[in-house]
Amino acid sequence: MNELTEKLREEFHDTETRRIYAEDLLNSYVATQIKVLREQAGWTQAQLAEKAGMKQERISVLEDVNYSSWTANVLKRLATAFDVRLSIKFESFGSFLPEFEKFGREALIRPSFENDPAFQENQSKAVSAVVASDVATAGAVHVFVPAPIKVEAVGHNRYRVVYPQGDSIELSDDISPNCYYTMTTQADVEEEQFGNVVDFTAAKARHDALLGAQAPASLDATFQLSQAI
Amino acid sequence: MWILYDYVSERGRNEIAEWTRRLQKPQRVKLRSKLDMLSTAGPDLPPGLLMKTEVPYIRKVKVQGNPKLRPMICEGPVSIINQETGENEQSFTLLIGAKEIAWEFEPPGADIEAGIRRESVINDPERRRRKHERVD
Repeated sequence: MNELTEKLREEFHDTETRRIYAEDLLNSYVATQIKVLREQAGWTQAQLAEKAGMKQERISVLEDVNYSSWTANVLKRLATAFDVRLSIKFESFGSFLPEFEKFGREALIRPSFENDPAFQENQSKAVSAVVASDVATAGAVHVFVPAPIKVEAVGHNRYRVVYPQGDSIELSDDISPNCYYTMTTQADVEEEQFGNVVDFTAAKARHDALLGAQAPASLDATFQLSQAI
Repeated sequence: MWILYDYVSERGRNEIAEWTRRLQKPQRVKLRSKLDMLSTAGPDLPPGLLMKTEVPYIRKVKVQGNPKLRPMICEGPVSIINQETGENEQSFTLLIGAKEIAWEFEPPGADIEAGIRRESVINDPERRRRKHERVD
């Protein structure tokens, strides 16, 4: 438990405090997850609005941590647009603390049905096989990185690109045309603490700039893979 | 985690903590929630948490309610190396407590004053800011 959640644990003994705080955080969660899921899908607010049968202005309002007048029906429509399920449950205040500790992009991302690992066994194996094959050959090989993916900062100038099914690639600012990715196993990922989540597009653009290449138009990209660990 | 600091006046008073103590409890709790969100998630993830002002480097934290709280903050504004990680510390400094009433800041010119205070912090960060005080 970190210092902040330890303080919240004390403050939540006051009824009014925990009620107001939890409600405020709920609004922040809802707004932030709508934004995260929209960006994960690579949609603009206008595109999400069209898929959910709303106006863009409405999405803009919903993506505001201070907005509190959303309804279950509106959230259901958004869930349908994202092709995820909406879960509304009553929870204890105790469950709030670890949830808040993990708050970040990674904790809010949800795969759409199409990318849901539970329904993607064959595709998951296929992508893993491609990665394994490329690692085995080493040298200047290319790997297709499926979207949506996420990138996490894992140390000084080091980032980890995580595939939807859990495999990951690490990249570094210690960059050269032939060596800028290393690979970790799913076990490594599970053992390590995740760092801050950073924006993939920005990270990729930054590395492309270092290599003198242009940033991709979409999240789909080809990376050079040269070293396995 | 982003580290939060409070502006300290020439006389050594934590003006942010003093302003916060004058708020009603529901507003204090909402403000605390927003600042915790900023500290935990950083400035880019929660949408609508921070808004630019007309003054360069100065942003307002949006806290809805009656009244609407708009404390002014800036990123940094001084760079400190974390001794453990060797990386630059990620921080915000709360510069002035403010409210927004009928599209006007209370106190008037709060954003401009925040810009002036930012300069004071840059010139003497040891004396003119301290770690954020969490007001119950």
